[in-house]
Amino acid sequence: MTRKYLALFWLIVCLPLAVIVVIGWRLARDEHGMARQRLREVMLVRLHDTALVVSDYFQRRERRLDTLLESVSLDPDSLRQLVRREPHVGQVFVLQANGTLLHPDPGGQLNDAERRFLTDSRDMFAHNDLLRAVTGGDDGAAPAASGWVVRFWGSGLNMVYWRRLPSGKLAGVLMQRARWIADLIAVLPETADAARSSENESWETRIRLIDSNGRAVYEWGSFEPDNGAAPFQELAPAYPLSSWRLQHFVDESALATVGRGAYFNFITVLAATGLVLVMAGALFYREYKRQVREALQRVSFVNQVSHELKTPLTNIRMYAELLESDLQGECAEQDQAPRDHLKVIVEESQRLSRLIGNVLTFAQQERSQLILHPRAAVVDDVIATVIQRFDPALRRRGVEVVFERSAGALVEVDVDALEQILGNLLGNVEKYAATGKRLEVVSRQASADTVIVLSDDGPGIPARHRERVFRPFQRLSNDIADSPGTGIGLSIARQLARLHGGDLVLVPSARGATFEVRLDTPRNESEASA
Amino acid sequence: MNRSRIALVVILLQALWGAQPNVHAREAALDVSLAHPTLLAGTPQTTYLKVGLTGFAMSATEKRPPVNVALVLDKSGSMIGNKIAQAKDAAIRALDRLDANDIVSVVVYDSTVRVVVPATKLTDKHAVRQAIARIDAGGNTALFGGVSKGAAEVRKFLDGKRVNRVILLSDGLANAGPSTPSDLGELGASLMKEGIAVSTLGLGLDYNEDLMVELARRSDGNHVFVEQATELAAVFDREFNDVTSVVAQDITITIHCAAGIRPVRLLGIDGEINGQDVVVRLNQLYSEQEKYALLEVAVPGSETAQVRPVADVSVSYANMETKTTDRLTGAVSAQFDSSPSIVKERVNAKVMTEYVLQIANVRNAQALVLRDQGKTREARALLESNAAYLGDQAAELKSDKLQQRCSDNTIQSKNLDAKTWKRTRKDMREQQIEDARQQGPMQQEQPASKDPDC
Repeated sequence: MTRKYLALFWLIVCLPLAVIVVIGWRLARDEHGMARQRLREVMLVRLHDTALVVSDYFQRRERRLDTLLESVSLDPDSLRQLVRREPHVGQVFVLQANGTLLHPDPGGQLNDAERRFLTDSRDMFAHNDLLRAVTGGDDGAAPAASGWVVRFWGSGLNMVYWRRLPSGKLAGVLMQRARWIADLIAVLPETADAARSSENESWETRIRLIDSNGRAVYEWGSFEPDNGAAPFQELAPAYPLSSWRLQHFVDESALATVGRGAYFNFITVLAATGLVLVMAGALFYREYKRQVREALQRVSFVNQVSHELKTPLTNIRMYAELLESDLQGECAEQDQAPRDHLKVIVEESQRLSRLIGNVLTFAQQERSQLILHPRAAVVDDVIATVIQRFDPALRRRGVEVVFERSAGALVEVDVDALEQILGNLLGNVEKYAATGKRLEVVSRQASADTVIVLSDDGPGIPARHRERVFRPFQRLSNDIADSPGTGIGLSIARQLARLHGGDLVLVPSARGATFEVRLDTPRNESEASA
Repeated sequence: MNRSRIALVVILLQALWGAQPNVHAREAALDVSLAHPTLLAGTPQTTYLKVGLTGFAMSATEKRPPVNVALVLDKSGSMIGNKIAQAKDAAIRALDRLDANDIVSVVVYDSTVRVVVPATKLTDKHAVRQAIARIDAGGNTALFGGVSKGAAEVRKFLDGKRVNRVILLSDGLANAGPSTPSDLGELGASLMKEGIAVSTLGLGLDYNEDLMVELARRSDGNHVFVEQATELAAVFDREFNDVTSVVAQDITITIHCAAGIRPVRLLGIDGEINGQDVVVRLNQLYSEQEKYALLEVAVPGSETAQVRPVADVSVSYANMETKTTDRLTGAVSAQFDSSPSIVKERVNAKVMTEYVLQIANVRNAQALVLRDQGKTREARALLESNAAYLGDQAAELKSDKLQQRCSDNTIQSKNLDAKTWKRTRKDMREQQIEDARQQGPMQQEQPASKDPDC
């Protein structure tokens, strides 16, 4: 019993621990993947921010160029002055609405830079390529007023910003390539001081701006990726720089430690929970032990009291029985009243000794000290003795006892135990089933088994309580007036039957209650040999 | 009208007798003269128009204009050791030349760029010194990025009343980011439009001199070949001398050629030739330094004794002392004579010297290209003939400068083999930009050695 509870108790402690271990381990494992995913998102957000810086730069350029192109007069001197003065302007051109170049005029006096520009950008002006790009094809949409055109020549990407003037002419600016790249570099972040960055950022990263040929134009961040390392995250900036890429690199080897923190956290939580559970367990266990000890002390107290009661009671019972036999022999014709009174005393003292016997048996059983002492006896005789002992009380309640005896063999049986079993069962009939007015006791024997069946016509026991009645201190009603008793009778009876190699069960029956006692009763050797 | 005629006469007189430039106090002096003030009558011929501008002497009492300098230092792996230590030392020492009115920023680069000291007034020299002292070397060479960030720092306080400059020190090939000479040249040209000059200090024998020269040339900055890191302190010193002796900035020289006169090409300094108009832009003029534009012009055949106007010149610049935009004008005419001896007699030796210098410079550059193509013999021959030409002209024009270049070319012609080429090439590039752009007076080092042949 105690061991079962102990196992249950440890289960209560260990099961949550096991559950935490499993969940925590899986969480920590997922954590690595999740952290990677989160990092990926963070990097993408950062690339988006960077791309915003880039597009913001081009928007500011647009506004500046709009102002320039709106205010400049279109004569060659002013246009050349613009090129000479504006740091971002590589060259300026003006197109007629029909696509003819007004400036630089291929037929006019060109300076070297203009001649070079016309050579470099000849594809743009030939076949009205630019004009077509500007009008946006034949989809019928209203032509835009300004925009970017991106063309490749020279050492890479060239940005041309054009604007339609109120006169219908088209003015355009070739951004000086090295300058807008230098400007982008100027607005993009620098590599932060290593000492400063270590506080703000646990991750060493590197962001690269890659041109259309895959060459790094500019990069920043303290992390130094290997040659040919694949970017962790990549993003294309908005038009007009959409053929370039922003690449984010992180230290992949440092990535392996992502989630290690989670493992650590998990182990800490696990250890803490485990500690709490074990401590709670230890506390409960101590409390449980204390209560068991107290219960044992109580039992032993009851046991001692019972022992103390047993001796005087035995004396009372003995003398009452002596007195009864004395009275029977001497004055049979005398007044019946004293004799009846004496019978009551005997009966009650028998009942009391049964009660004390039960208490002592229970106490012995609790301490696992219940040992049977079988000896040679005839079961039917034992049954008859017990029935006889109950006869007056049962008769008074109008219960008729029918005993069909078929267990007359001399067998090895613990008479005291059997008496106690039967006493408890008959006592129950007296207490609870007297209304049935009938008790049938049938005994039979087969090989080493003795079976005694007691059936009454009382109110019976509901099916759902069939097992409960055998548990100690369980009574179908706790109303003392309703059902007197200690609640240990049936429990002891069953325990004794089981100790005797048999059992005590409640057999389903049409009416009343039917108990079946089965005992392992080997034939007595001396009788067999005789 | 009357007055301008007098001015014209004065200039004519100067042109005729090679008068000393008229150094007016607090104003740059303009010198417009022809190589051949008198041309042979009857035939079309070419001559050379020199427009020289000389910075006035910086006043000892007036405060010099404040400067706005970005030091851009290469801290790539190749700088590890003595080089970075010397560079840091030189930079720290150069700070002593500046005061609290000046603005300084420090940018370092390897594969990436870091702004060590953002542009700030130099009120706390100690902090800047410490920041420089903490720099340590390692990594690639993101030169373009470094210059971009350095220029951005200068731009934070961009002001025509300051001398705005990026000083770039590198010992390696730019191998991260845009790294062709034309990329860097374009960047330089763009920065010059804003009045930012980039001076490039090439350290050791492994830097890309084409790129460094192009960046300095197109932004009108200085270029110095620093062979030994130990020279750095002196180089920085000279550079800061230049920076602190700027008297004029944002200079535009406009030459309008008279009808019939055709501008052919500019020798040395770049410019635009738009029909009859030639525009040359300079970033700055140093105290008592002359910078000039040399224009080759085709003059049509004219009659004897005819005076033919050749060009009107106008110059505008920001005077750093008076904080005003000053304008100068000038004009030049040519006379014609049928006697070749008179023509020869009247040659302006000063202009001719510069012409010879520029022509020899172009040939020197051609020799470099030949050597690059592996045509060592042709390169040597060209340098030798160049030296001979310089020697002859030096004797005729009595020019020490040409004499020096004669010996330079001779020495170079002897050092074209693989072992010494790296060094010679850097010498040649340095000399080419010095002659083409007439670098600051402080940059002109004393002749290192003189060849006995010259």
